[in-house]
Amino acid sequence: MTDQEIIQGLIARDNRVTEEFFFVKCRPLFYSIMKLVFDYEVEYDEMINELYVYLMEDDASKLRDFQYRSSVYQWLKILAIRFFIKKRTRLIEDNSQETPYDGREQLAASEADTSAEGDLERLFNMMPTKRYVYVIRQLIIVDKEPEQLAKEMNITTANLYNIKRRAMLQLTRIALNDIKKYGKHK
Amino acid sequence: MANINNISDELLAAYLEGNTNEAETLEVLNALKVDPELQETLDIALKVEDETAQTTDLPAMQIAALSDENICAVRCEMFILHRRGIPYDEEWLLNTARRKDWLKPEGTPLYCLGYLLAYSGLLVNRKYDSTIDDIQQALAMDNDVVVGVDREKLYAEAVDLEDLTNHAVVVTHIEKDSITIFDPYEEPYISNIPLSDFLNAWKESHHYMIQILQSVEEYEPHPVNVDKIPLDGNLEELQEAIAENAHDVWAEARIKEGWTYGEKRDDTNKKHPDLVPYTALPDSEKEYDRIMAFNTIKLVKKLGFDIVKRNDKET
Repeated sequence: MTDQEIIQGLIARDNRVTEEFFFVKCRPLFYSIMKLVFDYEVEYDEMINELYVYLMEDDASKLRDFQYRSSVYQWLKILAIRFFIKKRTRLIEDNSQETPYDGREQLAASEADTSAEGDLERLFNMMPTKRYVYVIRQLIIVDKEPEQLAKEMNITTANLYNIKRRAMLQLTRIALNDIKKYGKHK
Repeated sequence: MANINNISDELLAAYLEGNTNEAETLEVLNALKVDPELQETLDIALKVEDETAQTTDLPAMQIAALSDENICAVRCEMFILHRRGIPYDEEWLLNTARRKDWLKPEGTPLYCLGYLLAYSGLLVNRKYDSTIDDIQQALAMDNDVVVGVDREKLYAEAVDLEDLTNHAVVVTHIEKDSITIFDPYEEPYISNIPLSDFLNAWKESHHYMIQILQSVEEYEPHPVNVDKIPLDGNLEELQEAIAENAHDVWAEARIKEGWTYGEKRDDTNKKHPDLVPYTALPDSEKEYDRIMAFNTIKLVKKLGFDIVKRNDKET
């Protein structure tokens, strides 16, 4: 199934697509996330059903708004992580009142650090795999077309996408370690 | 889902796949510093990636068998046959490997490495998560050793653009800081390379090695470690069904051979206490079948296959 077929199938509440993709293929993913989010036993199936209801609420507006900027699987992973974190927060609170995240004082990222470009260079310097840095630079900073870069690197575009994905994971890991090490979060 | 920095789920997912532009990438990284929930979200996303990496399919040598230029596994096996003085016909070996689907168009699964040697009557033992000590011990017993590697990582001058297992080499000797290998594609074929380069190249195959034994006494079982393979609920249901069926298959074969039930095992008179329905087996015997079933299901998943339950109406 293509991502388009998955999204359209989910929106249309197609039983086959919903079952195969959401409840079967993504099931191990949801289990992994829940095990990491909750440090106690939860009703996995119940949680997954709640996630499905959340995904489909407002006439499946989340699915309808999806712009295919990532794979559906990656998007659903992020959506599920955030959903379960919020669910955990709600469960911890005595009342079932939703955590007022949306009403929180907005922390403007721009106020947090105005030297973001310099930080990115610093993170690049900390990345052990220099070809990952090269790929991020070319694709994200220089905005080079993937097909062109793949040709220059004498690899297939599919390989380049794989390298790019690994590169972003390494960058994120370095960034998170940096924050943990130096306690930059406020 | 809304969050304090308005980094949408899709933007974050796009970032993780490298599909954001410079401004968006900086926006995510900047938000990361001030948003503990975003930190936790990405932290979990990375851990899920790590778990996925541990539970993903065992690597295949992806470039093998596309053409006659990509038959490193077969050439390694020929090298061993040659070393052991076993006559072989190259064309026959290649045709056999293709006919038996050990050489596939999309690549040779690592678990097919060594099948030709076994087919030629040699004792092949395979193992993931091996160590240099394992190789040393095997060589000390005059066993042959073939390993799966990322070829480009073997040679400092090679450009390594992708982390994957794409090659097989035979290990012939180990020194303290270096290792001698037979590489069917790298003249002079037998060369000495730094141990650190070898280890770096070898790790991509989950330290996979096959060991060609000299005698059955040397056999030490090394089941694939499937501890971290998660099983869905519906697959756990399968465990009992497989365990029971395995018992029935075993019992049927025994009965066909003339065995009957007996309170104590008696090989001379072909009596066996386990020739009873599965439900009547002692728990210790059931547990044996269950563990076998459990590990079999997990191995199927680890080898890259999915087990999907059909809709009830189709069964």
